Amino acid sequence: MRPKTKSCFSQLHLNVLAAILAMLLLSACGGSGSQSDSLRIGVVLYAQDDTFISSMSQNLEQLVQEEESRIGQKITLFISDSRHNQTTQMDQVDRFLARGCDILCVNIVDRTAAAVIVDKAEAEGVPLIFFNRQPVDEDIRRWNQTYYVGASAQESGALEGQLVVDAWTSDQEHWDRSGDGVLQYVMLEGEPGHQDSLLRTEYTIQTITDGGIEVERLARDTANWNRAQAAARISHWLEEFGAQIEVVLCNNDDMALGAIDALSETDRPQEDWPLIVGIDATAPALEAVAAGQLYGTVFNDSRGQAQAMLDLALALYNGEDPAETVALEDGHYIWLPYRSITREDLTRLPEQ
Amino acid sequence: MKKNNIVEIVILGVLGALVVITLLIPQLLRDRENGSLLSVSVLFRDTDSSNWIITRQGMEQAADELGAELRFLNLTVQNDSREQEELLRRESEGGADALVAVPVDPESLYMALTRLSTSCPMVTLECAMEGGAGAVAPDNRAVGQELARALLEDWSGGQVVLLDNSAACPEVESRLEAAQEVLSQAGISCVRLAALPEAWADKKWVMTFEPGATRQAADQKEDGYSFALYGVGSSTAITTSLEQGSIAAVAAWSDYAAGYLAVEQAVRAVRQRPQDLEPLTFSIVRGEDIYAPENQKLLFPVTS
Amino acid sequence: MNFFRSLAAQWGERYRKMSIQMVLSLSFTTVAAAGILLMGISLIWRFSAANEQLVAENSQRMLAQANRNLDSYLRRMMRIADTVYYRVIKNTDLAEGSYTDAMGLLYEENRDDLVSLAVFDSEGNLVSAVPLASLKAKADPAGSEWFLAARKNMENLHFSSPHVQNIFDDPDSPYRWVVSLSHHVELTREGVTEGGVLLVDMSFSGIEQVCRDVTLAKGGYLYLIDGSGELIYHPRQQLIYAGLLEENNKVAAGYRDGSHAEKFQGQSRQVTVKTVGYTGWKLVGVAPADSWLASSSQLFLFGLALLLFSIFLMAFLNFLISARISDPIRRLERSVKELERGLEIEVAEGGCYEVQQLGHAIRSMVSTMHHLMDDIIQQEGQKRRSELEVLQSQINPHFLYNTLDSVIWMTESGQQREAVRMVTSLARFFRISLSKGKNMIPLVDELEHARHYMNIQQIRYKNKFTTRIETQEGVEDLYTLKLVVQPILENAIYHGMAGAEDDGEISVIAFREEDDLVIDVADNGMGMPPEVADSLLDEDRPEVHTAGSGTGVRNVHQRIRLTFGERYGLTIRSEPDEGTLVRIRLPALTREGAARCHQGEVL
Repeated sequence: MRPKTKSCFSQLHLNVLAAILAMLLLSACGGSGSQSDSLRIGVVLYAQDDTFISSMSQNLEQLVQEEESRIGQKITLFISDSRHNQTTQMDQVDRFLARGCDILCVNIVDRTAAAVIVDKAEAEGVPLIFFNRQPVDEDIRRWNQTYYVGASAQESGALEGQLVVDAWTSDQEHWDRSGDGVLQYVMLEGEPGHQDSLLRTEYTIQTITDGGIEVERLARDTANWNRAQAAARISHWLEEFGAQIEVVLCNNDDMALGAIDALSETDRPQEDWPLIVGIDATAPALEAVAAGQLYGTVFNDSRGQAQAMLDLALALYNGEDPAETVALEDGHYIWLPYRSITREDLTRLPEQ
Repeated sequence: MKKNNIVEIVILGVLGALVVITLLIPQLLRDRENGSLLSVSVLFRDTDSSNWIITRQGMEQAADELGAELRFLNLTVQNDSREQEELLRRESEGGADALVAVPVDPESLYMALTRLSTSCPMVTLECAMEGGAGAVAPDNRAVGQELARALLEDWSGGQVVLLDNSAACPEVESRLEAAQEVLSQAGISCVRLAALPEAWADKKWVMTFEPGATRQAADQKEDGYSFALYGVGSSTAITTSLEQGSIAAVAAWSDYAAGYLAVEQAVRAVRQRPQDLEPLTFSIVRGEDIYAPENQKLLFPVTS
Repeated sequence: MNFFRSLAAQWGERYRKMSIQMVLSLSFTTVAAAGILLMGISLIWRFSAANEQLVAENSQRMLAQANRNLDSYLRRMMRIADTVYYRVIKNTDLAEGSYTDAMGLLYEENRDDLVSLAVFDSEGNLVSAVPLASLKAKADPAGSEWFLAARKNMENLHFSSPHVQNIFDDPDSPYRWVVSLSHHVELTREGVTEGGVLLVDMSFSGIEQVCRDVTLAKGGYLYLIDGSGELIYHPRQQLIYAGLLEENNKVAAGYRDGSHAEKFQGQSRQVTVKTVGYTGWKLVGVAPADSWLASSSQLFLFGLALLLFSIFLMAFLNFLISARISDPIRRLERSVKELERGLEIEVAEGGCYEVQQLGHAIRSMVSTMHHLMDDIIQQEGQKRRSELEVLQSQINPHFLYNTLDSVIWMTESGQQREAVRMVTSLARFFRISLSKGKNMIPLVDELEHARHYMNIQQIRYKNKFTTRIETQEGVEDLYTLKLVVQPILENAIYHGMAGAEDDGEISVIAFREEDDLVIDVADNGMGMPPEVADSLLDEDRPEVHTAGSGTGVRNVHQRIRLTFGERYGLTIRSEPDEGTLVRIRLPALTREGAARCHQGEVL
């Protein structure tokens, strides 16, 4: 009887072996994931060479570092530059999602392409924060985990307009060189299609006219937020209109600086320069304000926006209701205030 | 009977084990590929990394290819050695697998590294650190010598000012000394100054040994000083000055390559044995040569 | 060599000694494994060959696709150049208007692909440019490669190598890499035409996008070179420019269109080349040759796992089957072995049909054997008994003849009383001899029998000798084989007494020695040399039929040993002129023992 039991025993062994193997075969088809305890934020910038965007990314880096040491939460920031290319940006978004980012911050290149990114983020369940470049409301509302952090373009336009109104009303003789009581201006616009260039242009003029000033547009053109293009444009207009130009309205500071570059190349003394205003309050612009070349600019609080994004990201990561930590409007929007800055205000601006 | 069964079970066991192994290997490989992105922390010595944009691009390229994650860390105060050491400690405790640092003070940084409870390979940029996993830097003495020789070719008499900001950038010291040796041998009197002086009697020649100082000097020159400037660096600002003639010649090397190599070395130090690094090749670029094909490739990053 | 031979011999030996199960399972498994492996290897081989072809085809297809895209991209660029030339430059007199607005429109339309559009006059002065920009102070357009090329071949569009755009002033924008498309144009100024150059700077991104979207086999990539091998696009261009990486672009410039195998930096790879129309640019697709194994190592390992698993299953099944075949055989073998050892055992039957039959056959064979053996034992017993009977009967006629002779002689000589005594003794003698056919009789009877015999012989030999028969205490109830003492006495008389003096003496003493009954028969006759005494009991001694040749003694010896075994029988001690002692050793049998023994003998 002994051999019989022995062979039964060995068969049992074999069966168990076979069963284990079968299980392994099945389990091999499954995958495994990894988790880390750090908050991973992917930031996609539309272009690092944009002064405001690059200052924002630097602020973000700095704030993350500060926040890390303050709350002890490890935060890893991935920043990539889409270099004005929406296709590149899509790849980068895909890569960040694949890498397992917890929060995705997108400075979208083409704001009409937002829906695709929202869908991607929703599929992965990664909260999405748009900033600086605002997608249309329909896209933001596509998913309740989509947010927008930025400053209201209308407000910046209105503040820029207000700067002009204040200057004009306070010292009309100086600025109204033609003495006709009509404000002759040229307008340098940002990139076509960007909400900021549309709204800033619109509201600057609207505020000026609302301020009871009669205006005449001598010329307008787009300079793509770009200093060199603006300089070329302005020198062209200076040849065309000469001293007729009383005000140069710029959608951002880079273009205002371009206008200053163009004016510096002429032999016109600085006190005869037209009134130049910009928006963003970048460091070189503030220098120009200090030097009196730029009459004023509107402070676009890049640090504040970065802070708001970080607060929002942390709240989302910790599963808190973001409405409790940040001022959320309509459940999706965080608006940061602009501030107008003239030479007199410079001493009071702590950050710069 | 018994023997037969043992043989059978052994054979089946071996076969089964082989099946299991072949099934598990891809799993393990996948885990290694996905699961372990190395975390590499990069410690700069500036308050923002705007001077290191190209370097960062190189680092990111390497990180992308080699499976690493980068954390870029700046100081709140420029060249604060204590803060850098503190950051080092925090990063290693925070689970960094490797570090890349632009040291403020290599010696004290090394001391801080040895004080760490966990061992963490550190690759340094710009200058070597004893005990580090490698240094990605040009041969600093050769940089000084070559730059001095470039000056010698143009020299037409007068004293040479060697801008010495070695307190902020440790690599400056060896470059400066090498340059000084070459100049002294040629019988040219030179003077070490920490900053450009107000009075400019006969000091028509200035040498700087670090990108920041070079840019600063170039800016000062644009503000009305007149002197021939020999510096170091390949950033856009410096190449612009070079093109405009504010700078006579620079010793330039690829920041992109430096960043790439640094991260590559750091990853290698974690995964395998670190290799000995060759010093970065550099070249002396004069203003009129910047558009030579080789210099184009060196000075201007390809960003479309 | 010897070592291998001995190893082979050793293995051969081992193989010969292997059990049937081992042989079956190992050979099955080996064959199955070999088959599966062969199949797997041929599959892999086929697959990799097919895959290589697939990679080549795929590369070519992708390259063709990229080529189409690049072609249409370049065509678009050329169309822009043509549009600027034919729609703007030719239609505008510089004295009356500028090109800026129209060019601006074109530029805005193609902003993603263009860095700038510019028109220069024959001296290299900037006539018009979009986006609006001024020339750098040191810029020397007339000395640029693209300018010279356009001036040289007026009818052609010229594509430059990648270079950094260095003529436009841009305070903050970085130096950008471009590919310049230049074309000789005719400018009109106040109705007079003059030569000029149109410059279209294409950004890298357009070309990059065309090339990057191409996905080659894993690990593969695509790069673009101009006719001289200068890189235009490479996925790791910056690394190459930084000197960290090398590409085989200079060699690739010499390849003809199609797939080539090359070895670069120790890595063999498949390179597919496609020349782009008009420009002479070459698209080069690179697929590492080991990409298949490397990229699908997971697949390969999974295949290997499947292969191993099937071998495992085969082995498993083989072991089961061989166990099923060999187990019954082994059981059968064990049964047979136990049978051999003489154990009574049921022969196992089971397993496959043949084995069952075999078991059945062995079983019936065993039972036949048992029958045969029983028969043999019976026959043997019968034979022995008849032999015994013959032996017993051999005694009688001779003796009877002598005795009756003596009786006749006595009767004739008138010795009536002696004759009566003799006949009485003879009668007693024969009664005991017969003992109702029993073989075992009480010792008392046996000794009685001896006494009667001696009586007869004494009468015959005229009391030439005296007889003493004694028994010790405790032997009276014992049994003995009958007719064992008489032949000894007969022998003693013929050999010991016949030629002796009158004072011959024969004594018979029965006593018990532990479990044995010993009967000593001693005489003081002539005796014999020890060799003769020894040879007396030798069974192999040739039969010598002389009177008193000791046949009787030997018969007794044989009978005792046949009945009780080797331990028992006779021992003879003799010395010439001293006498002879014959000791009969028998088991001390009681009545029951004797009965059992009798039965056993019959069996």
